[in-house]
Amino acid sequence: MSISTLIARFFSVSLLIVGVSHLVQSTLWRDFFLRIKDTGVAGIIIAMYTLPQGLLIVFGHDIWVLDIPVIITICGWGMTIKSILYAIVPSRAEAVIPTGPHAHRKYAWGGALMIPVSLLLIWHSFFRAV
Amino acid sequence: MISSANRRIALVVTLVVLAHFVVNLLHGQAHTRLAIALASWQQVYVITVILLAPLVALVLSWTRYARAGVWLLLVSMLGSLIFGAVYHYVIISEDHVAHLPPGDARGLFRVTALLLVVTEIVGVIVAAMMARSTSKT
Repeated sequence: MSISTLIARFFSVSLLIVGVSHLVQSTLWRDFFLRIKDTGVAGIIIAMYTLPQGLLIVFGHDIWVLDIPVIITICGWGMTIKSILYAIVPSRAEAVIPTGPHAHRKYAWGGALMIPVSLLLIWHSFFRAV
Repeated sequence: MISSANRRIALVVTLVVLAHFVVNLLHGQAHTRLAIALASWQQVYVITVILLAPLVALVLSWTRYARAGVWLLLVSMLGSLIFGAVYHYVIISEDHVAHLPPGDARGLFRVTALLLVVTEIVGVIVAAMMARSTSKT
């Protein structure tokens, strides 16, 4: 198995789990992000989690083809750029954390979007990639 | 916090960009299966203008830079439309819908080439209308 396939499998399965969690536990995710927003260092905390995975994809799965793997590449670069921005300007993270009585719906919608994408990536990385 | 008008713009941009993205991936698969390679400059153009620029426009449309996102979408969709129309329907090469190499993905290639034109025309119209409406406000 190539390193890019390993990263694709790791990313797609973690995306599925996080997506399902966002969908079925949307209020918990809302509460979690509201709490880290209150710490004043939300940008640093988010960057700590997303930067390693983003960099792993950037260095190990930098595949620019017009095919399914490019979804992971774009996600990796997006996570890396976002993490760098949040690490340097943490207030940017606080500005995008949803608030209000219906904030949990945004997490549920996010999860609902992640699930089909992750299933597509799982299918490709486990059954098509070498 | 974005306004309800900007939220509507962002939703429409998201739909257009995601539809275009999916068709793009399917068209890329047809290219791979028929072994139709692109020149280096074409690959750079496809990745930056056709693939990444609309996604950046999508992200911008959900921020206070929604107007810039709409203009970026307009430019990228126009650039994609011209590129796709010229290489799929005008210049005679392996990338032309009537001169494809043999293979079972020829149907997929033709359908997705057409769908690319459709989604890009919709993208241009939507982006132009939104650029016009945001310039009035």
